[in-house]
Amino acid sequence: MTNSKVNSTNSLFNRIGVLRAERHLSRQELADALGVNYQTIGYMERGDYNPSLELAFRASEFFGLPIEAIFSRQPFRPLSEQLYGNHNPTQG
Amino acid sequence: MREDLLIAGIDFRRRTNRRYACVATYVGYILLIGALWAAFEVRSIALALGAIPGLLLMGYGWWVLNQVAAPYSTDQTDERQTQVRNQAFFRAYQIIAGLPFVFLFYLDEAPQLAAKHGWDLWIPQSGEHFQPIMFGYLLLAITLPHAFIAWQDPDYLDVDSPA
Repeated sequence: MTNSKVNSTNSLFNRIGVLRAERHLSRQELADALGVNYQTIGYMERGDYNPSLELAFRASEFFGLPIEAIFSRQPFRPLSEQLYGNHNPTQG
Repeated sequence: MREDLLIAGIDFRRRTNRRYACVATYVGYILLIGALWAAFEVRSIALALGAIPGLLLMGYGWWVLNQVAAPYSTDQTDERQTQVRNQAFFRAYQIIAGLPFVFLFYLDEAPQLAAKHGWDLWIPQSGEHFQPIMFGYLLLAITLPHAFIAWQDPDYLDVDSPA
């Protein structure tokens, strides 16, 4: 019930921007690799466009990551938080 | 980053400016027809010259809309562009298919309403009255899908650069 409410906006979250930055790729280079227009990459990065399943698989193959590592129906937690949790060293 | 949309100092990568171009196309047509109609009624060449700004405005707007929609009009669109194009053509189709019925309904009902309520409704009588409507309809049919794309696409500035 709660999940369906959360997902009722039909939005898909992704890490395309982070992965592209990690690999030092321009939008044009990523677009060429995925066979889309560079504007489409920008639209996906800011969540204005949800890719087709085929494009999602192409992105998954290109980045060498499972689809769920790139796309999610829930907002992604920051990578640093996922790796180290909410640990605060100043609090011992 | 769509450098081709920097036309005569106006940045049509901005949605606001593209929306002005949409409005200019149709306002230009209304000015053109209005001036020609008035010139015909009054038999004045000076009034006919008033059609030139309308023609220029319509032509400019039409050309801008074509430039904006150019990437969507090729056979090499990606899935998002195809989706945007299909949506624009679908919306345009709804209006273009619906307008003749609205017009026919008006032609059918207007004389009765005018007689019943004493309203002074305009009813086209001759070919001279129908021609501007037909050309306006043709203009709408040709430009409306492009106008929808130009109207709804977000700004093309920072986030859409190829860098």
